[in-house]
Amino acid sequence: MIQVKNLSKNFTDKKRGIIKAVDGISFDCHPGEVYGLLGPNGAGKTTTLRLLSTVLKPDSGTASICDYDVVERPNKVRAVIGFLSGDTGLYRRLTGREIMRYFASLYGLSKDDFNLRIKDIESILELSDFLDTKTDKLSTGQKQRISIARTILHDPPVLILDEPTAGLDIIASRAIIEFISRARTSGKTILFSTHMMQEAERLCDRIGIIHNGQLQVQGSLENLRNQYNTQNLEEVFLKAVDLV
Amino acid sequence: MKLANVFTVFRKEFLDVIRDRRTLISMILLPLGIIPLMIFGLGSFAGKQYQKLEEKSYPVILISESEETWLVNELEDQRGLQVITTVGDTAVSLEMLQDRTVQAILYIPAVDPAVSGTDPVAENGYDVQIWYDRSRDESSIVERKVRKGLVEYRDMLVRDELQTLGLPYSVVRPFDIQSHNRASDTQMAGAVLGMLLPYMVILMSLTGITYPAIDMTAGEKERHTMETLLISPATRTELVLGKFLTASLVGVISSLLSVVSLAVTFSMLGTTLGAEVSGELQFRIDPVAFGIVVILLVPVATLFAALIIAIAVNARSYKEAQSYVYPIVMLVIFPAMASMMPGVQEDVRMAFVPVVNVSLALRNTMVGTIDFNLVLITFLTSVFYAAIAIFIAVRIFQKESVLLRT
Repeated sequence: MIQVKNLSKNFTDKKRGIIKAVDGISFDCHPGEVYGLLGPNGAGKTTTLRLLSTVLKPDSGTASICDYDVVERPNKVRAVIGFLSGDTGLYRRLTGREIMRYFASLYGLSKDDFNLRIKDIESILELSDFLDTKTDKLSTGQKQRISIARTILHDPPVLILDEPTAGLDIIASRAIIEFISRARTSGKTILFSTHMMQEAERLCDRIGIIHNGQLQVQGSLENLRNQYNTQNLEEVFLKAVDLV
Repeated sequence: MKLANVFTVFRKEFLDVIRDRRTLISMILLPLGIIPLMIFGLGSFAGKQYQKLEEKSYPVILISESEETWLVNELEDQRGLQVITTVGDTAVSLEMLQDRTVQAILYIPAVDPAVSGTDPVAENGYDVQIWYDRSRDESSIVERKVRKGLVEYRDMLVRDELQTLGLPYSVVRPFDIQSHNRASDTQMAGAVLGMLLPYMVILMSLTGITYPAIDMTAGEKERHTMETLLISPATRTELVLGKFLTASLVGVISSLLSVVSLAVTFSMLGTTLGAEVSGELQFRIDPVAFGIVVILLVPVATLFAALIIAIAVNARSYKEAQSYVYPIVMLVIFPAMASMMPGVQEDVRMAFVPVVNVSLALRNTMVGTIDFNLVLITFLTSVFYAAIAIFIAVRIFQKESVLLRT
C-alpha cells in the first residue's frame, strides 16, 4: 500500500524563485483500490508520483510504499512498484523482448522466471505480433503496450501511472483502462494521475483533487458529489480548485 | 553496489551502441577508414597534384645585358621553362609577376670584370637575382628550377675556367659529402609512427567515445528513456558505471582499430612505394610495445569516457551536449599532439600531465626507448585522473536536477 504524509517538494527557478511543486500532501491507497490524482497541468501530479517512484527526493514529509520509506529504502521501493508515464520511453533500437529482458535482469528475475512471465504478459497484452520488432517501428499504441508490459514485468504489488492515456487514441486508451481495471481486480494498489474526468469517473475508487501543489479535497466519487452538491465531476473539480 | 546490475546495464548499452549506425561509423569506420584515406588518399592526391605542377611548362623572364644562350637552353630544354627575353624592363616584369603572367624573373647584371671571376684577387662573383612569389606553388617550383639551372650554369663556367687554367675540378671541390643513415628499419618506422600513432590513437579513442557517451546520457533524456531507467531497482552509481564501461570499451576498440589501421596502412605503403622506401618503413611492433600501447590506452579511454559522460549528462538534448563536449574535444586534441612536438621529451614532470604523458609514452614505445618507470608513472597518474573523472560523473548522476532536466 501507499502512505503519504505531509509530502513537500520545492524547485528553484531563476525567474520565479522558489516554486512549491508539492505542498504538504497526505493520502493513502490500499490494495485493490484505484486512487486518482486529478488536477490541471502543473498542479503537482507528476512531481508527487516522481517523489513516490524515488526519482525525486522530498524536501519534507514522508512517504512509504509496502512499508518501505521512499528516502531510506529507495531501491526496495523501486522493486515493488511498476511506474508508467509519458516520460518512461522505450529504447528504439531494441525489441520489446530485449527491453523486457534488460529490466527483468535489473529486477533480479531468473531466466526461467522471465520466460514464464513474458509468456503470460504476451498473451494478456497481445504482444506476439510485435514483441520481437524494434520499438522504433511500432505504432504509439503498440509502444504503450510494451511500456505496460515493462511496468508489470516483475509483477509489482503497486502500480503508479502518470497520465497513462495521454496522447493515445481511443483504442489504445481503452486497452490501458481495461488493464487498470484488471489490475485492481487482481488486488494491486493503483495510484493514477489524470486530468481527464471521464477516466477518473470510470476507474477511481477514490479521488484526490490537486491544485497548486496542494490536495484540495479527497474522497470517494460519491462523497465528492455530495460534498459539492453536484453529479458532475467536472463541476466538483472546478469548485474544488475555486474556479467557480 | 551490485556488479551484476553494472554488467546488465553495460550489456544492454553495448547492444544498443552497436546497433546504432552513427556509433559504428565513429567506432569502426573512422579509425579503419580515415587513416588509410589520410595517408594514401590525401598523400597520393597531393603527390599527384605536385607532380602535375612540376611537369607543367611555366614562363619565366630573363633580364640580362649579355646573351645567355647556354643558360636559356638549360632552362628550356632541361628544366622545361619558357624563357622570355624580350621584356627587358624590371618594373614591367615585376608587374607581370604580380598579375601571374610569369612565375619568376631572373636578373643577371652586367658583368664587371673586377668581380666576374676573371680577376683572381676578387673573392666573390656577382649576384644574380631571382624574383618570385612564394605564396604560389607554381612560382616556388619555377624558382627552384631556375636555381638548379643556375647552379649547373655556374658549374659549367667553373669547369671551363679550370680547363683554361689547366687545373682539375677537385681544386674547387676537393670532396663530396655522403650521409649514411644508421637507424634500423624498425627505428625509422618507429620515428614516423612515434609521431603519428599517439595522436591518431588518442584522437580516435576520443571521437569513438563522444557519440555513444552523448547518446547514453543526453540522448536518453531526449528520448525519455532516462526516467524508465531511473525507476529500475539499479542504483544511479550502477547505471553510470554500466554506461561508463560501455563508452570506455568503445574508446579502446576505436583506438586499437586505429593501431591496426596504421599498421596495415604502413605495410601497404611500403609495398606501394617500392623496395627503397619499403625497407625504411617496415612496420614492426613487438608484443611488449603492443602491450604497453594497450595498457596506456585503457586509462586514457576511461578518462575520456567519464569526462564526456559527466559533461553530456548536463545537457537536455543531443545537440546541446555536442555544444558542451566539442570544446573539450578541441582541448584534448592539443595535448595529444605532444608526440609531434620536436624537443618535447617525457620526463617525470611530463608523466603527470594528463594525455600529454600518454602521448609521449606511446611515442617512446614506438621509437623503442621505453622507460618502464615513466610508463608506470604515466599509467598510474592516468588511472588516478580517470578515477577522479568517474567519481565526478557518479556525483553528477546523483543530482535529480541534472537527470530530469529535459
